[in-house]
Amino acid sequence: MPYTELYDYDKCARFVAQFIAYEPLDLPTSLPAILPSPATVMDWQAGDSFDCAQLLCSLLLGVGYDAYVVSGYAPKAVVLADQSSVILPALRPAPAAPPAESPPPKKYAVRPRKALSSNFLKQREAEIAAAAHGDATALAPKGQGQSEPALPAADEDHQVDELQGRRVHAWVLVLAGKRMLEASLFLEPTTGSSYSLSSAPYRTIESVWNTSNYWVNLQGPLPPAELSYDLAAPAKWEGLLAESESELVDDNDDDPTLAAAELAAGRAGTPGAEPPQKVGVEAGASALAADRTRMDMPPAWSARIRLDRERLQARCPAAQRLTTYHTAHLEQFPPYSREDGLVERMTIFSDIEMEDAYEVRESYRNRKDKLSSRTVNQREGRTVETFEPGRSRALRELVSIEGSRREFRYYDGARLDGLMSRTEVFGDKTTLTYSGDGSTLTQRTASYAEASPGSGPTVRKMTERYRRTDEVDAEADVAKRTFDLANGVIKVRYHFGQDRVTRSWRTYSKQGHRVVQVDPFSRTPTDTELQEEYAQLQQAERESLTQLRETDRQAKDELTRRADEEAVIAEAMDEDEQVFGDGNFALPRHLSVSAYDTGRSKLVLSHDETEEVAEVPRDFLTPFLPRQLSPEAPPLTREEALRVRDDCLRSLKDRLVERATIVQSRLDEENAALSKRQTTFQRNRDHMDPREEEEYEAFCQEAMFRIQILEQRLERHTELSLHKYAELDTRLRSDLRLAALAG
Amino acid sequence: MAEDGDLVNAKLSRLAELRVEEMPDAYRVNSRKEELMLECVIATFGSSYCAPAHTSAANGRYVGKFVRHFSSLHPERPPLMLTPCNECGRRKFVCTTLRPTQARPALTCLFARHRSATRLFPGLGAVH
Repeated sequence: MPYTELYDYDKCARFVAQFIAYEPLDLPTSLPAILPSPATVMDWQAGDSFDCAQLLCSLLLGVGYDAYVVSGYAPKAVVLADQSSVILPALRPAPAAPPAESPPPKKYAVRPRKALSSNFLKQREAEIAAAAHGDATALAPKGQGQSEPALPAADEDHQVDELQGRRVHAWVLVLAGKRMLEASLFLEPTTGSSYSLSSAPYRTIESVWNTSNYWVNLQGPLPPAELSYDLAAPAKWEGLLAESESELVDDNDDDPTLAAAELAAGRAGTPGAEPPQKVGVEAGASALAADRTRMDMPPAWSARIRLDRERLQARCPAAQRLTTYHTAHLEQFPPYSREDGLVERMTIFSDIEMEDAYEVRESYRNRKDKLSSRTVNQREGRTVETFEPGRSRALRELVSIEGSRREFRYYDGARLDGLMSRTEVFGDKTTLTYSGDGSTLTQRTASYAEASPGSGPTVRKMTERYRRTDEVDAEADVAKRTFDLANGVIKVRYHFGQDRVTRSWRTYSKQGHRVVQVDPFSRTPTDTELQEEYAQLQQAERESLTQLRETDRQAKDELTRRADEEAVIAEAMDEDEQVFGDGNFALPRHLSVSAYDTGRSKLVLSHDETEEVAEVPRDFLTPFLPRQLSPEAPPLTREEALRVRDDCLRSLKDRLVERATIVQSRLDEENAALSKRQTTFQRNRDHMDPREEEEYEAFCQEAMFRIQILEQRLERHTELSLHKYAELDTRLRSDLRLAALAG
Repeated sequence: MAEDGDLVNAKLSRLAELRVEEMPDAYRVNSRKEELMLECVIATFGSSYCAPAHTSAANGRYVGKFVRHFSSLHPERPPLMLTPCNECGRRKFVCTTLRPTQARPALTCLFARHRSATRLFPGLGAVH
């Protein structure tokens, strides 16, 4: 099966950029003397831009793109794969949404009010700004780098490159058409980024080639954006091989064989219409003429590109890759290379000198605790952890802002209680949001009183909001319940009825109840009813408090669990910094392995087997041992061993005696039954008919047989018991775990 | 990024470790067609246009009017990347250096997996 990871051009480019360690050319202005085959480059995992471009182009051609290697000239930053003036892709501002079309002006629409502003004030501001401009350039405010990302590029252009325009570089051109590619683009093999033809950073193009032909640019040293990429146009691109037979004929009018072939193909050539700059193939030596005119590309001499799945997944040539972007570092690690499962870490700085890191974004993969990313913003003290689905309690996101608030967000519909989020503002308020699928409760809020010294925060007020239930009359459908614990008041508000602007509500307290009903025709509740409702609400208040405490406890649990998980991982990270060696990797212990990952899951299975073997086997002696024995634990002392032996022997003795008792009791039963039958028979002998006598005979025989068997069994058991006892005794003496007995 | 000092001849040092005799035949010799192609290329663009500059004997006979044509048309053009040497020192045409490949697990890898599978599940039978 071909790798699906290498089916799209962007993935291919990213793969080559990560997989091959890029080495700039020794002599930046001259072409490399040696161009190894793509297979060798793949083995070496290193190469210059030509090697990378050839490899990338081979891969792209293999998956069906119309790809070309481009040889040309590029600016210094591109040649050195220096991305320090490029903003990290993840940090780029999202493309602005297309402005919503403003509705056509209506004739009767209210005109916007004229903005009243003072021209004098504007003038004053302009003067002040002009005066401050000189200082502003010298004292640029901190953090300006983020707000104006275009700035640093301008800074770097100040350093004039003495080789400007002469630095040789190779990259890849993908033309639109095949694989449903809509627009042609350039791929930079050293960084994996793609550029549209108009936004490419390259300077000029010398030539392009792929397996079908070699084209020389005849359009002069124009920037790539202004070139035409119609490779079939002979005035713009000079092809090495003749493109079609008709062109061949133009060059070889005097060749009879070709003319015949051309006629046979039934194609009308256009002799005489020879392109003015056509550099075809000269019919020089007659011996080679036929070959050369027919010259098609020789087959590739280089070997197939080999790529193991392990290497494909490992990506980076060293176990780590660091890219410097504008005010950001990007570190990448192959999966399973670290104990904590880290695959990517972005460090974002607030200044161009890269000293003040203010945010770290980490992505994890294959974690057993399902952690997928963590963002720590030091400036705001905010930590955001996201989790993949499958974690117990369905936690999706955990946001904590140091000292002020904490938010738990859960996966939709994954929890039985329908909890969606829990927001906790320390010392002030806790809000629980529910999906409202199972019950009508949608939100529960608890406000806390000022924490008095010596005791924890006490709940001052609780609010519950419910969604509208269509079947119930709006007058009776509760919308909000407020339990004012501090004042001992309970307030219930009902939903708005249809076309109503006011709603009913009731207040309950010890002092008395109040009822406001919107519908004048509805019945007023009696005092007894209100009293009952009050009692019910008080019960509900207690239940709400319990549930609130329960979620608090769960949240606390979750936090301690997170801390434990992180502690375990941190310990493992301390133990071995790098597990990933060259080729023979060990499996990190705290990462999960998919069953579809055959190579690794096999490792996991074999790992499990060895663990089991290392344990002390479980057998007859295990229940008697005073503690769990393992190869590391100290052996039993003599007293302990003696006790174990006595326990074991006594247990066997009890068992044997028990069995003997059972057999004996059966024997007694049989005997009793037989003697009873015999006495009955003796008594009634005279009145019996022959059939009954036969029956008695049969019974007696059977009973005698059973008694005999039981007697034999008892005898054998007594005999065997001694043997068994002796055998266990010898076995205990020879057991390694009770070696203290011998001493 | 490594230091500049390390970069010099990093490729050449790797080449020095390469065992030429273990490479496939196609790496070490040119087929007749490839030779023809090279001659054709050199003939078309002229030896001076084929970087690096030292060329073999093949340019004598075929340098005809096209070389004159191209060089007279573009005397200012720098050398083109046409016939670099491969890792075995053999001059090859760049277009034939490309090898369109849809990357897939190596056959040996699959084979090894099958072998291990047969060891685990003998019922699968061996492949020889």
